[in-house]
Amino acid sequence: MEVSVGDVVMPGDTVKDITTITKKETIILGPGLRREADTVYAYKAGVLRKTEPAVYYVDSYQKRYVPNRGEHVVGIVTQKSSDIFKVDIGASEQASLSYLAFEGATKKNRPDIQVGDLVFAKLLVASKDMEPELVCVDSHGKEKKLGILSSDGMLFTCSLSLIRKILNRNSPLFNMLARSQAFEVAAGMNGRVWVKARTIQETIAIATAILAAEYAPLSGIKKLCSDIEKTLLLTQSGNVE
Amino acid sequence: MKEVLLTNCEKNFVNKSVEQGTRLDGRSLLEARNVKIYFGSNWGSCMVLLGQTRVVAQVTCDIHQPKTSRPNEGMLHINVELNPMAAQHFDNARQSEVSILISRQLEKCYQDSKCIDLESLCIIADKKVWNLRVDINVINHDGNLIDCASIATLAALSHFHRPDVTSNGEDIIVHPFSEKDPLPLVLYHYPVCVSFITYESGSTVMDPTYLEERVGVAQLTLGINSYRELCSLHFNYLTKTMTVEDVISAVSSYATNYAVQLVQQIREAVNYDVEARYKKDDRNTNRFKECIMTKKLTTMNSECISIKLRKWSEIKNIESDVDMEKKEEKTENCTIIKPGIGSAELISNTNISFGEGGPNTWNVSDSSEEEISEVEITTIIKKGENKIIENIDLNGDSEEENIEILETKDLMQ
Repeated sequence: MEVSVGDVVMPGDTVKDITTITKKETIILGPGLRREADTVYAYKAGVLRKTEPAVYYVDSYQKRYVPNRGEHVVGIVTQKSSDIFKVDIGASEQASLSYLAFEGATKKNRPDIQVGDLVFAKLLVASKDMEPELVCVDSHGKEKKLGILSSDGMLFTCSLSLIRKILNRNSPLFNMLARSQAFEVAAGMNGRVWVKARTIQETIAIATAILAAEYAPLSGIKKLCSDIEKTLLLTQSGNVE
Repeated sequence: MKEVLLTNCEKNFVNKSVEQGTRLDGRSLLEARNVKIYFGSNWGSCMVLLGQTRVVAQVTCDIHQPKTSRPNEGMLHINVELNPMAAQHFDNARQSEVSILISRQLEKCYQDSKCIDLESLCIIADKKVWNLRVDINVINHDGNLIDCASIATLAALSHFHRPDVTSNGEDIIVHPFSEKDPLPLVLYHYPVCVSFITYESGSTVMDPTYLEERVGVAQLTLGINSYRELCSLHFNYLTKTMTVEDVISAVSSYATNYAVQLVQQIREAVNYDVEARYKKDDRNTNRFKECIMTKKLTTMNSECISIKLRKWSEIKNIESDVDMEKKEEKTENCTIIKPGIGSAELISNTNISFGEGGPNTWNVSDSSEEEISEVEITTIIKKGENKIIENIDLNGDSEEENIEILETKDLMQ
C-alpha cells in the first residue's frame, strides 16, 4: 500500500512522496525506512513523519533499545575489569566504558565507580557488528552533564517513544514541573530515566508526571502538572496528619 | 538473557521509601494489588491479573491407572511454566529453580492440604482414575508470582467440570458434554497464598512488586483457607546478613483476614461465570475478550503507570464517582486541603480522560462554557427551591392537608 506523510504505516508499505521526487536534493531516511532499488519501504509499524528539509522516519512505539551513535543513555555498571567497565544499556550487547573516559581521569587517578552504579554516558561507537562504546566526556575532555549518577535518586524504565516525547524541545513537561518542583533528571534514549528530588514523595511525584505524560496530549500537560502538584500537597498533608 | 542487575540506586530508594511507609505504586505497606479474574471458553481455564502480573491457568483431565499405594484416589498435578514472555531472564529450555519452587509451593498448598476430594475421581478402583493436571503459564512477571498462580489455580479448579462416566461391568463410557451434563470437582476447602517481603529496616510489605521482591531480605508465603486454617508456609532468607524477628506472628492475622476476603472474591467470580454457563447467557461475564477491551492504547489508560503517588488514584476514583452522579452539586467536585498553617486551597477534581468515561477534552472551550452555564442554572434552581419552601411555611400546611383529605374521600366514594 502506498502511504504519505502523517499516515499510519505497516511494515511493507511503500512511501509515495519519496518515490515521486525528481529534484536533486538529499533525502535522509530515518529509523523504520529502507530503500530497495527505487522504492522506499517501511519496516516498522508507526506514524510516518517528515522534518524539513527532507528527513523521513517512522515514529513507532517500542521498548527495546537499539544503540545509535551520539545518543545519551543511562547505563548500569555490571562488571569492572582491568581497564574498562562493562555497562548494561538495555541493548542486545553490553557496552564498554573506558575508565579513562571520565573528566580528569588518569592511569593513577581512577574514577570511583562500583558495580551497580549508574552512569549517564554518550555512545561513541554504535554499529551493527561491534560492541557499543561509551564515553563520559565530550571532545574537549569536559564532563558537562555526563558522568556517574548519585545513588540517592530513583531509576525507572519507560517506552522509547515517551523518552522522545519528553526530550522534544517543544515539550513543556519539564518547564512546567520546574516551576513548582526542584529536581534533577537524566533521561537516556534507552528508556531509562533517573530522577532525584528533595524528598521521596517529590521524587515519586516527578516520576508519576513523566510516566503519565505518555497518556496526555501536549495541551493536557499543563493540567497534568497542576494535578501532580496538588496530589503531592495532598499526600504531604496526609503524612503530617 | 541475563537478568538486569539491581542498581544501588533502586535498592537505596526502595529501602528508604519503605522505611518512611510509602511504596512506589502508592499502596500502603499492607495493601495488596487489585485482583481481576477472566474465564476462557473452556471449563477450568482462566486468566488472573494481580496488578501487572498475569497468569493463565488451564485444568485438563484424562484417565490413568492409579498409584499402587492409593488405588482408589485420583491424581492432581500442578505444572508451572515460566517462558521468556513473562520476563526476559526466564529461560525456555530448562525448568528453572523459580518455577520448581512455585509448583512445589502450590502442590503443598493444594495437594498436600487435601482440598480436592480425590476419592470422587476414582472410576474403577486399582484400574482407572481421573488424572487432573493444572497448567500454569506466566504471561507477565511483575512480582508475587506465587500469589497470582495460587489464585489462578483455585479459580481454575473450582471452575473446572469433568465429563460424566458410567460403567457397565468391564467397559466404561465417557460421555461427551452433549450427552450428559459435566460434573464439577468437589472441594473441601479453598486455600490461597498470601506473600510478604521483609526489608532490612524490619518493615514488612504485602504483595510485593518485582522491584520490591529483589530488594527485600526475607520472604514469607502463607497458604490460608477460608476457614482461617494454615495450609502451607514458606519462609526464606534472600540474603545472609539479616535476622528477621516476629514476621509471621505480626502479619498472620492480617493475612488471614485478607485470604478470607480473597477467597470470597474468587468464589463469587467463579459462581457467577458457572451460573452464566448453565443458563447459556454470555452477557455481562468476564471472559478473555473483556480483558482485551480494557487494555486498548486508545483508551489512554493510566492504570498501567507503575509509579504512583498515594493519593493519585484516590483523586481519580473520586472524580469517577462524581462523574457517575452527573455532577449534581458543584461543591462535591472540590476538596479543601491545608498545605500549611493558615492556608487552604480549593482543588477541583475534574480530571478524567475521555476513554474512561470522562468528558471529551478536545473542544475544551465549548465544554467549559457549558459548565459555566450549568453552574448558573443550578444556582437559580436552588434559589427557587428555597422560595417555595418559604412560601409553604408562610401559608401554613393546613390547606394542603385539606385538599388531600378531600381527594381520598372522593376516591373512597
